Amino acid sequence: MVLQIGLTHYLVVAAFLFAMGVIACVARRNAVGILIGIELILNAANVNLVAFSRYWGNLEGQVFALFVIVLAACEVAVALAIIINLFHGFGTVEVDYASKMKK
Amino acid sequence: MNIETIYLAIAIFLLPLGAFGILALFNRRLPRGGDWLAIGVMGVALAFSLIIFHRAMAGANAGQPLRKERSWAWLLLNRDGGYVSPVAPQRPSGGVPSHPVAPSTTDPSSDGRVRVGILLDGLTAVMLVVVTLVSFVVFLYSAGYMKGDVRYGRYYASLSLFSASMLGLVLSDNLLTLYIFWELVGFCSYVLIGHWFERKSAADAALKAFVTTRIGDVGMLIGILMIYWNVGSFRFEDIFRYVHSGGMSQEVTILGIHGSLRFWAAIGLFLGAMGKSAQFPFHVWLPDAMEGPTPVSALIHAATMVAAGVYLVGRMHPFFPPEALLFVAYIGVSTAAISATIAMVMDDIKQVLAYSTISQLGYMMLGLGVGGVEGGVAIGFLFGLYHLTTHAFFKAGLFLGSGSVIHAMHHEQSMWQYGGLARKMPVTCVTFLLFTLALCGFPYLSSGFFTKDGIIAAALEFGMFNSGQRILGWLALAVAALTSFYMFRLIFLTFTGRPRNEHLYHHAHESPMVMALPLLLLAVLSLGFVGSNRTFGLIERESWFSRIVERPTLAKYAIQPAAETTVGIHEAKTTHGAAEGGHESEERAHLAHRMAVVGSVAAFAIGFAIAFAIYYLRWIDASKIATACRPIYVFLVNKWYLDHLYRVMIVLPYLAVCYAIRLFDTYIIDAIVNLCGWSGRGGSWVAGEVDSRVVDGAVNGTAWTTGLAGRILRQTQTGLVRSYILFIIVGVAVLVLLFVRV
Repeated sequence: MVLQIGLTHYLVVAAFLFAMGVIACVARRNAVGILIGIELILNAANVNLVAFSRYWGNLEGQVFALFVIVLAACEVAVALAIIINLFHGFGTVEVDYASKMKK
Repeated sequence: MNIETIYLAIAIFLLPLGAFGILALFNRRLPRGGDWLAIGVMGVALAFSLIIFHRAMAGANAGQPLRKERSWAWLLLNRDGGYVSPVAPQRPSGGVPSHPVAPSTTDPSSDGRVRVGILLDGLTAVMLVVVTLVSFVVFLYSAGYMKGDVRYGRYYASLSLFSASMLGLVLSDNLLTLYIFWELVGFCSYVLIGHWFERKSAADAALKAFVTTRIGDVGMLIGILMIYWNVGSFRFEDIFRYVHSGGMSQEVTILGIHGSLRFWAAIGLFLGAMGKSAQFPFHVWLPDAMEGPTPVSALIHAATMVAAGVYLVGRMHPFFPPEALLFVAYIGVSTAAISATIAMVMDDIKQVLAYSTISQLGYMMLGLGVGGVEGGVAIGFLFGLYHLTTHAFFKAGLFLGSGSVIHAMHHEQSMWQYGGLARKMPVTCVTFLLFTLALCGFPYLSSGFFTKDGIIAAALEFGMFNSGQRILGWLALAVAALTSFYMFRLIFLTFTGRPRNEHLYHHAHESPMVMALPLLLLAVLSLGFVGSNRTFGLIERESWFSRIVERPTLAKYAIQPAAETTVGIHEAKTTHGAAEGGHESEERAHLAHRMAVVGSVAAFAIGFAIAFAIYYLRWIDASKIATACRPIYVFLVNKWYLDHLYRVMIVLPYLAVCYAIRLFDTYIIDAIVNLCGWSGRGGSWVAGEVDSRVVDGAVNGTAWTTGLAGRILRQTQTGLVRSYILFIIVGVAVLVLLFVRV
């Protein structure tokens, strides 16, 4: 039987990616790790967008995906700047140490 | 010199009163405390009194006795005129007047108001001279005796008020103002006896004098109100007129004794006189009153205080029914006897004099008591008041003399510390001897002899036609002997013999002129001419006093001429007791008088001889007699235990009542008050608890709950972004599970 790769498979992969991203965000303390997790979440969404675009036969999803990639690039630029400042201020990129405003 | 007599009388009263006003307000600013003002004013008053006296004497010689009256409507006590007793007074049988009530309150000019005013007659004229003369002398003497006193100005202010009130008292024509001045006199005596109130004994004595006389005054007030209730007027004239027409004769029984209303009112008045004139048993205040300055004692004993009681009885004499007068006589004679016995054993010079005063006042009351119009002896009344006059002079002299001695002996008052002072103080000694002779009744040379003799004669005569009352005269004679004894005991102990206290004797000196002069003046007035009468020994004894002072009879107050005759007969019948011939009674009076003269001379001699033997020649040692008759001596030294008796019977029960009331206060009133307090406190406590527990608890509880919620919820706010993400994921997962139904 020829395995037909359909929409469902893409969605499963996307969900897996999303889950991995979320786990990265929640479990990791390293700011860079968290950033990577966010990237994973965004790209899971991209996978979904492209998959649905193919499924429905129009280009709207792909256009959205492009936007998301651009947005992700911008976000990475900003986030990395923050992380560098974080490291500058605390000497580490562990987010738990950046709790000065808590008290 | 042509000023009307009545204005002089008003001036005599107003001058010392004005002096009092000025001194009371400004005595600190006046030089010398203003004593010159008081003395000067009293001198003027004395001059005026002498003018009045002169006019009265001239009038009496010309057959026109002095009688000036002026009265004014004063208080509105009840709108429709005098109160008329609902019980019509019983009238003596016979056709005497139909209308008993005709007091001048019905006078249209007074429109129902109480009339008060001035009455100036012979008795008042004499009293004015006595009061102003003694006051003047005492004022003058005080300038020396009280020199440098702490309250010099106040002293003179009080003295002025004292004299002014006494003058007002003798000038009153009614019982109302008389009572007001009466109380003023009492008040002044309180102030002056307590002049040195830093000493507790002086303050106590002042209080004792005031309270004791007040007790009598309550009786007097009751008597006055009884009279006013019935008569509707306070004026003497109205009262006499009312009584004369048969008023106030309702029978009243008090304490099982029957008596007319008039009798009880008279007893009430006499109670007041007993308090003021120190009659037994109210005499206890007078010896204690010696705590005051000695000039004050002189004033109290001679002119102002004690004279008031005798004057009152004399003034109201026609009002007193015979039974009341008998009571007066017995009180008088027992007072005289009791105080004379006490005077024999006193050691303090002023105490001896105090008891002698009480004794002499007893004589006066005895004289007035036997001098009633109905069944009395005419001379009793006259000599009772006459003795008041002469006694005023020599008793003032005795006190001023004793003051002189005390002054010289540095306020040592015990006679046992004196002795031999005659050499050091000749003026005092000689004048003192003259006063003593007058007091003891030295025949013919002294004024006191005549007046006291008159009283004794009256008492003896009274006993002759009232055989039950013989004791009055005999007691009076016995007291005369006692008087002579204790006065010469005083003289011998003080002025003769060897000095018993060398130190004090060494420092003794004659008093200054300002103190010696009054003594000399009074000594002259104690000589026989003041009391003598030209035709001595007759029934119609003529002396200046009996001329000027008329013996008032109710008959003078008859309303209608028709009544005059009836009463005239009535009086003629009763003047000397029974309906005997005039001749017989005249003979009896002669006999009585001879007995009195012989008896009183003998009494004087006996008393003198015993005192001479014991205290001058020292044949017998006085202390041996005292030890021999120890019970009697102790009894007398303790003043018949009267003070103890009062202490046990009055003071202690009073204190017990006070104590009981105090207990009631502490345990009942205070308990109630405290209970209120406690319940208030308890209520507040409960309210406070409710506030702090319930109200505050609710508020705090709300806050605490909020805080608790905050504390719990804060746990979720970790500040860790990843945990927030976890919450979001969990939340979304829950939402998905809830809302997405596959």
